[in-house]
Amino acid sequence: MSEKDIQELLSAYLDGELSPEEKGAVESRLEESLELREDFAALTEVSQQIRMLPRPCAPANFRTGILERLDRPVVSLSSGPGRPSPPWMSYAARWSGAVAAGLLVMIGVWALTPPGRDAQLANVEKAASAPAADRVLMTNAAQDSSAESAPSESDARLAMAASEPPVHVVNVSPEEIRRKIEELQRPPARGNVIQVPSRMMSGEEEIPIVVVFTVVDVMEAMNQMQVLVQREQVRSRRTREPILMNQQADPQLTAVTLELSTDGPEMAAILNGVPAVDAVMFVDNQSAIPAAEPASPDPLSPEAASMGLAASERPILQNAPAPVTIHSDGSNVTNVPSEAPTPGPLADQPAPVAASAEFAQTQTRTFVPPEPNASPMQQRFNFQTLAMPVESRAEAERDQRNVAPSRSMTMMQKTEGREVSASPNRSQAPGALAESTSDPMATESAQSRKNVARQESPPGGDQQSADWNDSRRFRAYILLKQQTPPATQAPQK
Amino acid sequence: MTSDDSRLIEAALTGNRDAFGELVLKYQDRLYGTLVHLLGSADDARDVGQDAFLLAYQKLRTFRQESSFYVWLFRIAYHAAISSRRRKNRPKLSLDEARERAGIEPEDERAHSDPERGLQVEEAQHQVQQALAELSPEFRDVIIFKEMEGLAYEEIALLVDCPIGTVRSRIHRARQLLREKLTKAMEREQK
Repeated sequence: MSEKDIQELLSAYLDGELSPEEKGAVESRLEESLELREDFAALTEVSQQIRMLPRPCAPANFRTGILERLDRPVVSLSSGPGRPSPPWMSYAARWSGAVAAGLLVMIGVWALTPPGRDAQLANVEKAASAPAADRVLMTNAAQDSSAESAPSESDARLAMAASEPPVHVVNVSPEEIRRKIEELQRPPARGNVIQVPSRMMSGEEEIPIVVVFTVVDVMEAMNQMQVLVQREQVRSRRTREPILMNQQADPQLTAVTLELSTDGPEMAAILNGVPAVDAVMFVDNQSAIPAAEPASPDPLSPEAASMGLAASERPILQNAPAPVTIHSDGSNVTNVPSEAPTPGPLADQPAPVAASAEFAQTQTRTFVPPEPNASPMQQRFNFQTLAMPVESRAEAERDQRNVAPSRSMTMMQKTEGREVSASPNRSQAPGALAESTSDPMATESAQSRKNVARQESPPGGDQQSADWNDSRRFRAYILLKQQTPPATQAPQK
Repeated sequence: MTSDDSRLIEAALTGNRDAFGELVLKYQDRLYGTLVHLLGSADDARDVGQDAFLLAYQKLRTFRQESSFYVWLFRIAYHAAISSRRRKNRPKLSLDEARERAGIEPEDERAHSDPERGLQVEEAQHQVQQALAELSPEFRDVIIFKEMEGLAYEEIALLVDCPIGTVRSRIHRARQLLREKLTKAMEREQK
């Protein structure tokens, strides 16, 4: 055994982690070598020094903070560990946390809207750096204080921000979400719209409302948020660093590379590293969501209506301004209202998020499904979102087309040309993006893309979608809170 | 897995939040104390620690009691700590500040009787903390798991998702680096 080998074994010897043979070899060399004994003594001393480091006690309010968050409806990520539920409901418990993520996505996008962006940046940072469970409440407070203080500021941009209608953030309890999802008898599919009865405080009056959620793919949402923030070059006032950490800082290039294990905790750790997403839900596609049936049951059937499952063409959605609608399943693009939201009885409702055309950055998405027979640790998602210089797009597209269809899905989106193109022989890939917005220009742009998407979707689109679902054993979803329909609408029962 | 923990977990699973509160009380100091060193920030350690307990509460039904509750909790906390590192948005509160806030001082009985000796101990600990903080996470994590949590190499390998051989070499390398840093610090002090 070489000197180097023995050196490396010293630590393991110290820790009692050697085999009997290795231990014998080390002890024999220790007896022979004074230098080795000195090294061993030094390592032992280092070990003791670390063990003797003071370990601060938890702050006095540590435990009470946890218990308060458990008791707080919005904060509690589930209704508790003891409640019996269907097998798939272990996922549903996470949905309530995902609601908070959805709220954050909405708030984040609103805060990045140009007119009030600078004025609200501090609040966004404050909310983002707060403990996850406090974010929604803090953001509420931040909005209130922003609205109150803005008129007294001389900054014209602040005045513009103050002139915007306030954003109402409605707290929906996890129990309400959970109950609704339980009623569905299965996990909601991507693109589903779910209505949850809730209440909104108006002064001292509690008004019944219906909160509409759209199920989106968390990876899609995250990538789009990263692209948006990168394009807006939103940076922290304190550190001047981008609020969301991208792997490349070049403002002209946005690269988000995720290598996501199918192992839940690791995937959660990565996704939860994005400030705008603090909870995710995993769905086993093979057992929970029928691969060939990615869409919800007939949304207009009495049964679906009784569950509060709504299609996006329902009147309630057509009339209300939709801040951002992200349908990550291409098949749902056609469900997006084909016209700009028309002012109806809900016209005075706030439109918290302005045009989301920023989302539509030219980008290539590549998804490489895991090896079918790979071990759990080998089964990793390789999901990349790449935005690249114009001159390299064509080449990249060619490269993407060369990938075997059964092994990858690609999608090109182009905003300026108002077109959405899919790779040959493929449908609009899951992850396709559509926006519904109150901004006429952006609506036109989004509508143009939707039209093109319809035209280019080949007849075999559903099969392609099924292939996609088959190839991905797990997906992560969040609920994106879409809007808060008005009090005049009776809650769905 | 102690019978006490089992009893508290069973009670928490029936909806008894006070029972879960007892579990928090039992392990909060140990977890927080390690997280402070892992993250180098008292604020981050508090947030990550609280999030870990909340996540543990959520997932309590999935805990099969094959390992101790603390080891299970620590795994959750470590993954949360990785997430926290990725954010890195706020200025760190140093360990010294954390101790100041919590009113914790180095536990050395001799320090009470000999103020000078107390200062020396504190200075030495500061140097070790500094050296530890300067290590890259791949070395810092494993040495903390070993020295502060007393985890076996096999447990560490599972936690950081790498072979045992890698854990062994990282721990050794971490100790070597710490030794070098501490030697240099002592030399600077003597000059």
